[in-house]
Amino acid sequence: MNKSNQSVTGIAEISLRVHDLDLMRRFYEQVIGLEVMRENQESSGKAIFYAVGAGDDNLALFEETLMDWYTRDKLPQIDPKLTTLSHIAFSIALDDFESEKKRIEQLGIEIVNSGTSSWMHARMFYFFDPEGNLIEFKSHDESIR
Amino acid sequence: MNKSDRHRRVKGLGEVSIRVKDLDAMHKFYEEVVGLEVLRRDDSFVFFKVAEGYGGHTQNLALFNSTDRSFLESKSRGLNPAETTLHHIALNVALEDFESEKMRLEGLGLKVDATVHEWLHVRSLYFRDPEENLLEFVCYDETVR
Repeated sequence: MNKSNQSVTGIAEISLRVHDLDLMRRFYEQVIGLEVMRENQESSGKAIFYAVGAGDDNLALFEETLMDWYTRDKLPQIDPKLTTLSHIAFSIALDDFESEKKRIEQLGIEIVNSGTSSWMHARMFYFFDPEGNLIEFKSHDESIR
Repeated sequence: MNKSDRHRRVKGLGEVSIRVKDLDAMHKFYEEVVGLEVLRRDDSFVFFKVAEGYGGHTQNLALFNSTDRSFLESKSRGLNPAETTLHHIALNVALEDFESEKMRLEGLGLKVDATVHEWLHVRSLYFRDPEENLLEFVCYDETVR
């Protein structure tokens, strides 16, 4: 299949199942700095939707107990050790790379790895959210070859 | 920190990466069924390009073999999609491709659930990848109210 046949034009949303929504929302709002778009309270739990950047990208947090017809095959509790999620990368400006790394460290969050990718021409660092999902901050850097 | 400062830091979703049991089978599905362009394949991972992304960096979807636990020592080699922290991944498609994509996916033998989300003014197709991760094809449709 060649590129012109690709129907998918972008990642619209990544949604996470979370155990402690209050804890997780503080992290995604205060540490990652995302803006709340909408909160949905359902009988089985709550979902919070965030805008990511200036485009249409979204991140959502769904309480683990929140069940719907399209998640009927899920259990009402998560086990982060057995997760199918590897990581989520957020794009940040190269100009902000060092200051963001310092900001995260100053919040007492461990940077578990940082490095560069020659094939992606990018620099990145990694840390965990409060429920063990791996988060990456990544910047495009043409000088990395 | 004020809202505009926070807004500036994260520019978009750079990458979503999932852990997989059968890298070859999942590679085939994401390339041929989801229809993504392969950016790089290695022994333990494959990166697909989804969109142009922010600041010269492509927006990617990546699959990592679950036995590769770089930075993820806390995770199990095993996966359980019923207990995953991943709720779903939504991918943008064009409104004019919506019906043909639904037919194409169904023609491949996938169970596809179509729905609308009024508050977002979108139409959605939900289906599962071979390892039971929930995927959504979503398109904006202003007639959905």
